[in-house]
Amino acid sequence: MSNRKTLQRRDKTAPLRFILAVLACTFFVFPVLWMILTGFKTGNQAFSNSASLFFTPTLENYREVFFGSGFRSALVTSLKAVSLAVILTILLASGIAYPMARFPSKKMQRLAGWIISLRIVPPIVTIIPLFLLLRSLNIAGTIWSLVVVYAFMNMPLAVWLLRGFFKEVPREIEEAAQIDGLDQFRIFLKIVLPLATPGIVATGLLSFMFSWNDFLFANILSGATTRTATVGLTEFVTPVGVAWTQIMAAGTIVAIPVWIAALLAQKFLVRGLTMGAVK
Amino acid sequence: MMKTLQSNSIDLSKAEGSSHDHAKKDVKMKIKERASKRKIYYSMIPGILLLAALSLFPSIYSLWVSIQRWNLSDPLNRKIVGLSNYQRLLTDAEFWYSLKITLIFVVAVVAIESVFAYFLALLFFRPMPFHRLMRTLILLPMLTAPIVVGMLMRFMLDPQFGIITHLSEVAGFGSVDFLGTPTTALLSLILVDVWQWTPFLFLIFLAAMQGIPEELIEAAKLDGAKRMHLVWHLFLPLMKYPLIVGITLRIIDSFRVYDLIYATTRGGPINATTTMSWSIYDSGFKLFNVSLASAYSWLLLIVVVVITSRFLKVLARESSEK
Repeated sequence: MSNRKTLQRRDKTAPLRFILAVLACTFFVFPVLWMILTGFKTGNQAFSNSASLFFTPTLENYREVFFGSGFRSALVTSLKAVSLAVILTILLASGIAYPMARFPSKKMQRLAGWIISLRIVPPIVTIIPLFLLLRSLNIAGTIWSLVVVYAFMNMPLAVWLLRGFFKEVPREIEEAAQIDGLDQFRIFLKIVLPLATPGIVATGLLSFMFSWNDFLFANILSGATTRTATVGLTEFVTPVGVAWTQIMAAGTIVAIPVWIAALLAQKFLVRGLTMGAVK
Repeated sequence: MMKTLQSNSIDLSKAEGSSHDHAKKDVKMKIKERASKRKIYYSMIPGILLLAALSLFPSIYSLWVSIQRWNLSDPLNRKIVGLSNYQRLLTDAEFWYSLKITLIFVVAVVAIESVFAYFLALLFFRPMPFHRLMRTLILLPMLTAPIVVGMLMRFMLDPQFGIITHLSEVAGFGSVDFLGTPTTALLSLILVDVWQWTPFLFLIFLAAMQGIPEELIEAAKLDGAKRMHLVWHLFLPLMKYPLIVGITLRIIDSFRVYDLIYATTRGGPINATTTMSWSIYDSGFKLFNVSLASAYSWLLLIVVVVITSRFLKVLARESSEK
């Protein structure tokens, strides 16, 4: 640590780095800020040519989004489908990941390889046959088609992450429990699970983020009564016109849960985004 | 927390080991362990079933559909036609054009994002005021749903009231309809993608850079290494693996781009932004030609696999070693 400090003192480029960093930060943040601000503007303010950062904010758009449109029910649908999918993902993925972490073998390795290879397949490839199947099963348009598809989508990430987290539980603890006569299932429930909780929560949060942000599956699989929030957002675009200020308010609402989830999972973000490959 | 637990556990196992009769216990345990081990494998079944059902079934079914003539708007006219869908695509100039657009998009965004993110990571490598806050704020674009980003960018690039159009006027570039002009539409989408996903690579590269042992950097400096030398000959080789992982994931994901196009150009103007993903969506869900779309998705899958499989092998090998 003292090394870092001495290095810093010698660093003459610090002011320049700081200025560049602020510029970069502005570049990445400005559009997001613009979206949030526009959500609080009236139509006139939003479309005026003197685009300004200072104005009298209005809550009219938020009121319209929550009470004057189907967007609120879309939010509820998203919340339902995504939470069910996250629970299903964690259950099924831990079922695979724990034996994988505990009893590694060539076969397990091959299985893990197959699971990660599913991550390459573009969703547009899967969606057509899936759509045809769900249509003939008559569950296209229900929330369950989304739950299952999201769970599937999250599995490669969840299995790989959880496998890493389970591996980190010290083996000695498990062996001690084994000597005490606990069977493998109880060891998992009573010892591994509590110790791996931070990792499991992080995996859940990441799965939440990816499913919440999905648009392709939702756009094709959700029916008239099961629009998700991301699909609901596009419904402010009507043949008559585009309700831009409302879209920006709705967009902010869609974005906030993921921002919060990312903040909560901050420590595991890099690991999660790289399927556990970079820690 | 992990550390204290670990030391506890070692104490426990020591205590147990010394106070029991080893040989007997071992045999018993092995039998018990094997039985419970077998049981624990059962837990894998539901997950594997889901994965198999949603991967094997769609691929087989999609292959089956792709050798038929099947339009959902004309279902009675359905029949098996062999490879003619593939033949039609491979001899169609539109297909090759979409492939070109897709490859331009993928190569451009991945290249720009990698370089940009690498420099950003260098910028944030050493602490500075508001370091954490700025690093967190930079992640916002990547954490915002692509469909939201798409709508936002369409709003900001609007030829009449978009703030970016406005700024371009002020800067003297005149009023450009960025998304509505064939020559600028693809470029605009590339820049939007760069804006959204550079933070992703930045985060990975920064973590990798900060994982480089300080002693190595110190030693290289004592050897008189210049800053540029450090960046190229020390950092890059040491970060090889995270670089490959990050870039591979970006290649895989940029092939998927759909939400952004849906919100902004819808493949247009004319067909300036018709990527393969968009073409598939177009033929499957707008023209209802599901058989052509299925054949098309196989061709896309082949392209993606050919391009990413080598990277993916590295990924699978290295992370299973850990």
